[in-house]
Amino acid sequence: MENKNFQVVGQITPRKDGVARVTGQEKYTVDTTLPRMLYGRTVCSPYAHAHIKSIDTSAAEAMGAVVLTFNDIPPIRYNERIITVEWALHKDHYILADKVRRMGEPVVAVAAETEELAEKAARAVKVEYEPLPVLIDPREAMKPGAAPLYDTVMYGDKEIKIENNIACTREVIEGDVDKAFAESDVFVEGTFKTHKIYHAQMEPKSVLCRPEPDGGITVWATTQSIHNTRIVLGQIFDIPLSKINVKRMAVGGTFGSSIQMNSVVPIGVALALKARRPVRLTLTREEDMHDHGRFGTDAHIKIGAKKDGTLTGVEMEMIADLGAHIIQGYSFLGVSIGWVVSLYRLPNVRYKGVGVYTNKAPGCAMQGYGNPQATLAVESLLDELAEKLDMDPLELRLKNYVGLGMTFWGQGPMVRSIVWSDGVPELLGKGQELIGWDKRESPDTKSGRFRRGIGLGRGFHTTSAGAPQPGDVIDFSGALVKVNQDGSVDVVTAMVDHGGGTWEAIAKLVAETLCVPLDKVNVVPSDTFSTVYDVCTHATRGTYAGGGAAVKVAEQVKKEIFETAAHYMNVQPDALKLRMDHEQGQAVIYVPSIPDRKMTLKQLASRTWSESWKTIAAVDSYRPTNCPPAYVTIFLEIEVDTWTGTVRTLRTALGVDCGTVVNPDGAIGQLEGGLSRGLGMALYEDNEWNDQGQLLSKGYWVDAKTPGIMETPALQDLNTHFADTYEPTGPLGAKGIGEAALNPVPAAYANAIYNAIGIRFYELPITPEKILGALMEQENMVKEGVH
Amino acid sequence: MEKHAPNEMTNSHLLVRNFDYLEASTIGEALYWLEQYDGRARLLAGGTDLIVLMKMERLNPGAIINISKIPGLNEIKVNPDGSLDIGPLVTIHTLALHPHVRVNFPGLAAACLSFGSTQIETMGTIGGNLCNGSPAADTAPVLLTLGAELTLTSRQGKRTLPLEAFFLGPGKTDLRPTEMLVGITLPAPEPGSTSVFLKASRVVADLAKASLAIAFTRQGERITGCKVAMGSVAPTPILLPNVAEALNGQVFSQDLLADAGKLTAETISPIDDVRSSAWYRRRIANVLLQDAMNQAWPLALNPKPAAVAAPQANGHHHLPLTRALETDHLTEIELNVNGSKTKVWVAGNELLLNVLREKLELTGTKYACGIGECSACTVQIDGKPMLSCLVLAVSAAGKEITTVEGLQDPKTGELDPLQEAFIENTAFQCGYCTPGILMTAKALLNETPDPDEKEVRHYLRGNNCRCTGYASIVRAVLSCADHPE
Repeated sequence: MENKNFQVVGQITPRKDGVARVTGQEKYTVDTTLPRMLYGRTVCSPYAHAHIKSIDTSAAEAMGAVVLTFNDIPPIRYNERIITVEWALHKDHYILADKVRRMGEPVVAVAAETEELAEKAARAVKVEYEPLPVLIDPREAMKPGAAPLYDTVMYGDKEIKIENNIACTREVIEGDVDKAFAESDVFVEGTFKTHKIYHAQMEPKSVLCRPEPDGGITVWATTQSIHNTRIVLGQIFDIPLSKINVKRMAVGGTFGSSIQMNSVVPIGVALALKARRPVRLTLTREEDMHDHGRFGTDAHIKIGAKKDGTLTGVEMEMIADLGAHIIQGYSFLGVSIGWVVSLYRLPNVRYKGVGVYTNKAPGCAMQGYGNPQATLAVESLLDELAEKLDMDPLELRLKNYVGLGMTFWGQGPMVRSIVWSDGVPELLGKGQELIGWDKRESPDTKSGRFRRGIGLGRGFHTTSAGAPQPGDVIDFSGALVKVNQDGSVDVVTAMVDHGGGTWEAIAKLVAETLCVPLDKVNVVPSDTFSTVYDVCTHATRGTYAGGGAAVKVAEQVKKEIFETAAHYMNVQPDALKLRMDHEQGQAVIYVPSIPDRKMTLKQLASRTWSESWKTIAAVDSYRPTNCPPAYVTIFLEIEVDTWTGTVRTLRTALGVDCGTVVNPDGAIGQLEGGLSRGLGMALYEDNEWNDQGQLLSKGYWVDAKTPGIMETPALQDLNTHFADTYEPTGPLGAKGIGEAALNPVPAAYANAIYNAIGIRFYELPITPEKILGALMEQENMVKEGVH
Repeated sequence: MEKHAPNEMTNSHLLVRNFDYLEASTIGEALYWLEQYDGRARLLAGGTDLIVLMKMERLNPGAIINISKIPGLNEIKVNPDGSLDIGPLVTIHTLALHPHVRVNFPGLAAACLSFGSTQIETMGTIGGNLCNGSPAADTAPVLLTLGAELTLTSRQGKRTLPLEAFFLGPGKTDLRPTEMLVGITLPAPEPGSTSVFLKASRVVADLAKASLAIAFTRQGERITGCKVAMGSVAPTPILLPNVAEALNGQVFSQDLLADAGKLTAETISPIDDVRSSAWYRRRIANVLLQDAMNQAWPLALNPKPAAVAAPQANGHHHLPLTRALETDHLTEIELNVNGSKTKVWVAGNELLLNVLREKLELTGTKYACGIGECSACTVQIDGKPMLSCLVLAVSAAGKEITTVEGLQDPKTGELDPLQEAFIENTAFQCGYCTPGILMTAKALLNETPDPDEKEVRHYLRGNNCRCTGYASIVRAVLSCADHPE
C-alpha cells in the first residue's frame, strides 16, 4: 500500500495560478466589479460599548444613498461560523448591531454611486449613543456587577441567559488527577498569557452581491467556506439555497480570519437587496483590524511527573478572551485542552475553560486555533521539567510524546483518532544534528553582552477534524471529477485555497491517480451551484480532506475508465492499467500482457462523445475517518543583546512530518511562512487595546508591525527538512502542514531565550522591553525613569 | 457612569475631504498661494507624511500646493569650501546614494537608509522630513549634529535659522504659515570629521523608538568637535550639548562612553507610547550612544563610502501652473500608464491607487494598509518604486507610471524574467502582495543589476508579505541578479 514512486506528486512544478499572480490578473473579491454596482460603507460605532438611542438617516438619504438600519434587517441572531453543529452553536450576532459591543461595530450601512459619496453619506448619518462601561480585561468582565454585554443569546434554538459575561464554559475530566499527582515526584506549573493579536492578512475583507431576477443572489466574498457562507445567508434572508450562489474566489491570505462568514457579507447582501442593484462593500484596514483577532488566553497549567520523566497528569484552568461576539468560543475551549493532551501522554486530566465576553474584536480562528498558546505552555514546562530532572529536554519529549498507535484529540474531546504515521524521532534526530544540539550549554555558562541560546519547540496540528463518528464539528468534503473529450480532466471542488497551494495539491493528486499529465488537470473555478459541500479550508485539512475527496472520486473515475475502455478493448476491466505517457501528453489505458491492446484517454473520451454515449465522470462526498497529526519540530539558535533586550534569529532547523510531500516548494513555503508568523507572535505582535476599547494602533499598520524581510534569517541559515513517512489514511500518503508550521515557533523562541539568558517568559510577545526589564530585575537594577 | 470621548474611525482608502489643489511652478507662485490661503494651505512635496496625516484626519487643509515640480529645489550642490546646499525637494533616496554625502556625512546617509521603506525614500524629501516636525524624523538628529542651517522664505523676505531653533514640539515647527523651506545648508566638515546614526525600532522597517546621531572629529585618540543629538526621546529631535561636552577633548575609552551613555539617559525626557516606554528609551539611549561611538571610532580615521549604485537624478517634469482645482469637481488629466496614454476624469483628492483600480481597471495594484506602510500598492513612477495609495492622481499626470500589468512584454505577452523567477521559486502564496513586491524588486534590479542578499533585503524592507516568510522572494530576486550567488 505504501507506494512513493510518484510521477507528479512530490515534483516541484510551476504553480498553475503563477502567471495570474505575477501579472496582476488574479481576481480577489475587491477586484471584481459589476455594471451598475454601488459602493457600500458602514457607519462604525465610535464607542466600544453603548446603547443606540436614535438614528437619523435623513441627510444620507437626501444625498441619494440607500440606507440600512437595524429596522431593515431580518431580526435573526446567528453565528457567523457554522463548523460547529447546530446544537452546540451560540448565536449572538445580528447583521447590524442592536447594541454596540465593540469599537467600530457596524450600526448603519449605506450604498451610493461612488465610494466617496457613500463615505459622505455614512458620515451624514446621525447616531445618538449612550456609552456604557467598557470591559477590556476578561477578569474584570467576569466580576459580579460588571456591565453585561448580553442579557441572552441563542444556544441552538434555545434562548439562554448570560451571567457575568461568561459566554461558555467547558470542563473535561479524564482519569484521576488527584491520585496521579499524589503519586508524582515532581511538578511544573505556570500561568501563560497570550494576546489577542491580529491576523494581518493582506486582503481586507470584502463582499460583492448581485440580486438576481428570480429573487436569488450571487455573492463574491472573502471566505474560507463558500458553502457555509451560503447556508448562513439562506438562514438569515430566508432564500432557498438553490437561489444563492457563492463564488469561490482567490483570497489574499486568511490565517483563519475568514473561517466564518465575514460580518461584511450579510451587510452587503442586505444593501444589495434593498437597492436592487449590485453592491460591493470592503473594509478599510482600520475597520478590518477592529473586526477580528486571535483569542487571548490566560492559562494556568500544572503537570506532574515521576522521577524517570514519565508524565502523570495535567491540571489546567483557562480564561479565553472571546471579544464582543462568540464565533467559535465553545470549541476553542475544547481544543485548547485537546492540544495539551495530544502533545504528550497525560492520562489524567482536570480542565476548566471559561470563555468571556469583552468589548474587543471577536476572536476567531487564527493559525493554530489555540495550539500555539497551548504549545507555548507545555513546551516551556517540559523544558523546566527536564531541568528539574536533569534530563535532556529532547529525551524527555521522546519518552512522552503522543506518537504511533496512540490516541490523539484532533479537535477537542469529541474528535479522537489514532496516530498511524509518526515522523517525530526522525525530525528530532535531524533537527538536533542541524542545530548542534549537543553543543547546547546551560544559561549559567553564558555571560557578556550578546548571549546565544538554542531552543526547541515541538508540536503538531490536526489534519482535518475527521473521526469515525460524528462529533460537535462538521468535517467532510467532496469533489466532481470529469474527463473531457480531449483526455484532459476538470476537478470541481468547493475547497478554497488561501494561497498555500491547496488547488495545486489537489490537481497533482488527481493527475497522479489518473496518470494524466499535470498540465491537463485543472482545478476549475467553481461556486456553490457547481460543487458538492465542503465544510471549510481550516484545520490544516486542504490537502488531506479536499485532496482525499478528489482522490476518492478520481478512483471512481478510474474504475469507470477501465469499465468503459474494457467495452471497447474487449478485455476484462480488471486486466487494465493506466500509465502516464509524456510524449503523447496523455494517460494511456493498456493491458500489460497484450502490448498492442491500448488506447489513450483522449481516444476513449472522444469515442464516448462521438458515439453519443457519456461523459466519464464521478461526484461524491468524502468523510475523513481520521485526523492525523502533522508533526513539526522547530530548532532555533538566537542571540539576545542583553543591553537592549533585542533578539536576533541566527539559525533554524524547521522540520515537518506531513506524510507524502505533495508540493515540496509549497511545503517549504509553509515552514518559512510559519516561522515568520510565529516569530511575530513570539516577539513583536501585541495588538493592545486602550481602556476605551480602541486599538492603540487605531487600526493603522504603522503601529501593528509584523515581521518583515529584515527579520527573516539569512537564506543559508534557514534549514528545512521533511520526515519520510506515509499516512495510510491520507490521499497517497499525505497529511497537512499549514497551521502545524507555526504552532511550536513561539515555544521555540521562549525556550531559546531561556537558554540564552536563564529567564523564562510566560507572556507573549517577548518584547525587548520585557527582556531588558527582566534582566534588570535579575540584577536588582531599578528601571530609570519609572515613577 | 464614565464619560467617554467618541473615537471616530478614519478611512485610509480615501481622502475624504475636499480641498483646492494647486501646482506651483515657481517659488513665487507657491508663496503667493500660501498667502492667499492664509494658513489653510499645506505644501505637498513627497506626500508620505502629508497624505497620511490627511487620511488620519489630523490635518484637513483647505488647499494643497504641490511644490514638487518647482525646478531647482531638488539639487545637491557641493560648494568650493566643502559646504553643502541641499534643496528641500531632494529625496531621501537621492541623498542616501550621493557620493559626497556618503563620504563626508556618513551619518546622514545612514539616517536616509533607515527610513521605513525604499518607497518612502524615493518619495519623501528632506524638506518634508524636517517640516513635518516629527520627534522621530530620521534625518533630524544627524542634521542637528552637522549644524544644518535652514533658509526659509516668504513674500516678506528670507531668513535663516539653525535647525535646532526650528523644532518647537510634536508636529510643530517655526515655519510660518506663509513660509516655505527653500534650502538646507551643511557647513563644511572639519578635516577628519565623521558622523554616525543609529536607530532602535520594533522591526527594522519602522519608526524609531529612539535614534541617535553623533558628529565628531577624531584627533589621534581624542574626540573633538563632538555633537550628539537624538530623536523620539523628547517632544522634538534634540541636541544633547552636555553629552557632547562630556566627550569633547577626551581620550576615547569604554569608561568614557559608559559615563556619556548614562548622562544621555539622564538628559532626555522620553514618554510611554505605543512604540515603547520611557524607561526603555532611557536604557537604549545609553546603549545607542556607546554603540554609535564604537561603530564610528575606527572608521573615523578613514571614512569610505559604502559600495552602492551611482545616484540617479530625480526626474522632474515641468508643467504649467494649473488653476486651483476644487476637488469635488472633476478635471481631465492624461495618465501615461504602461506606455499608453489615457485621459481620465478625476477629482483632485483622488488617489492614484484608486484611479488605477477603479477607472483604468488595472486591479493588479492593491490596497492593503492605505498609509504607505505595507507597500502592496507600489507602482513605478518615472522608474522609482512609489506608494500609489499616497499619490494624488492629478500630481501623477505627465509622469511615466508602470504597474504590474506593464511588466510583461506588451507585444508578445512574454513574462519579465523577474516574473518567471517568482513562478520558478514559488515566491508567492496568496499573491496579494506580489504585484507590489515585483514592482519594488524590478526597480532594485534596474538600479542595482547585481544585488547581493543584503541589498535585496534592504530594498524590499518595507514590503509586507504575510504568507511566505520572505525567503522564497529573496531567492527569486537573487536568481535575477547579473551574477546569481
